[in-house]
Amino acid sequence: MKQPDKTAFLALIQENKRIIYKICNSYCRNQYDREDLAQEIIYQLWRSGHTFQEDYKFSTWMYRIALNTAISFYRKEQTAGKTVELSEQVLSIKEEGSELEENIRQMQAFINEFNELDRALILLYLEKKNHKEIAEILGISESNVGTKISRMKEKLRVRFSNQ
Amino acid sequence: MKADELEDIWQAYDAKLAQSLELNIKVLEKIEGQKVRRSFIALIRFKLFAIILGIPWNAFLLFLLYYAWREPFFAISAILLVIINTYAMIEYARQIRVIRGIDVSNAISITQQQLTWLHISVIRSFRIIFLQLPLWTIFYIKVPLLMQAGWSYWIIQSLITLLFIFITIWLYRNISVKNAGSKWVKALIWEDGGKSFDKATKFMQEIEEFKKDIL
Repeated sequence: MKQPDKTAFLALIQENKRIIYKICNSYCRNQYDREDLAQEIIYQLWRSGHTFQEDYKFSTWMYRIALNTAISFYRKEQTAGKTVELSEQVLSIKEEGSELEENIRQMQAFINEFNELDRALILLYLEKKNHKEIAEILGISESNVGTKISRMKEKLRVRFSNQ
Repeated sequence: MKADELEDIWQAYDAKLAQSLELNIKVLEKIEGQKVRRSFIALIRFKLFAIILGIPWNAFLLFLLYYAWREPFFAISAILLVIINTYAMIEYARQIRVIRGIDVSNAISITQQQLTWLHISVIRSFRIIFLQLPLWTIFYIKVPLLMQAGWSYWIIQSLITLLFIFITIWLYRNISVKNAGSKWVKALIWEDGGKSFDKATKFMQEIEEFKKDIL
């Protein structure tokens, strides 16, 4: 993919807005940071259009950019200059109080217990990516992915059996 | 909760987002329009400028050294300055190479390792550069002058040199540890979100650990 044309790019973001939101939610605790990260990811996707190779899997490329941006963003103590003023948000969600909300909150709290690299692995696991693709996105071996997922499951079991 | 339940919640979360997540096309268009944003361009220019200035400066110091090597204070200062400058230029060249090689669409462990290395290298090079400060307070001293000088000269000269040694030690320690996130250090190291040297080093170890095959 060369630099995407505007319509194609908008369609691409529309198609992937949920994963962008989920990544932002896993790496930022407050709404302002989430918004800023969403803008940064979208900007990086636009800017990196020329790096996509046709023979490569699109989702691998997209996850790499989104997760690299999120991890770098997370590692900064303060957010840098914002692209667009926050009077309007690029991604917004209607909040509702429900049992699902509570479950999501618990799940998010569990994900937040991991460091930024393991968090990326969990996100990819939950997105039902296979070990091969997770390994390609993260730059580690497939066997390492398997081991880390087993450990994550074990941690999950221990964490919730103590409650 | 088991992994299956976690996956179910994630799917429900996804379904909820499919229903309620709204994309603001107006804002999206504004982001897409801002093609030149924060980037490493300024950092590359600064480092190139420093290398271009550093080469003739080092040559000039060596030229002076050729004629004044018998002056111990000057000779020691000049040699140390050339070593520090050379170190800084090599480090800057390596940083430029890494910056140019950073591709956010590369595997996470590779990109994060490059970014963290860059972070560590920027802080480390600044710490080393500041080591030259005390040399500027002694390079002009000539041995005969020192032998003939009175107590007042010795006291003033020692105070100035000690003050610069103190400042150097203070900068060396403070750039690397607690205050690395403060505004003045960020301004000094030309970074927009400085974390401490220690934290960056720790993250580098985490990446190494993350990449290791553990069976």
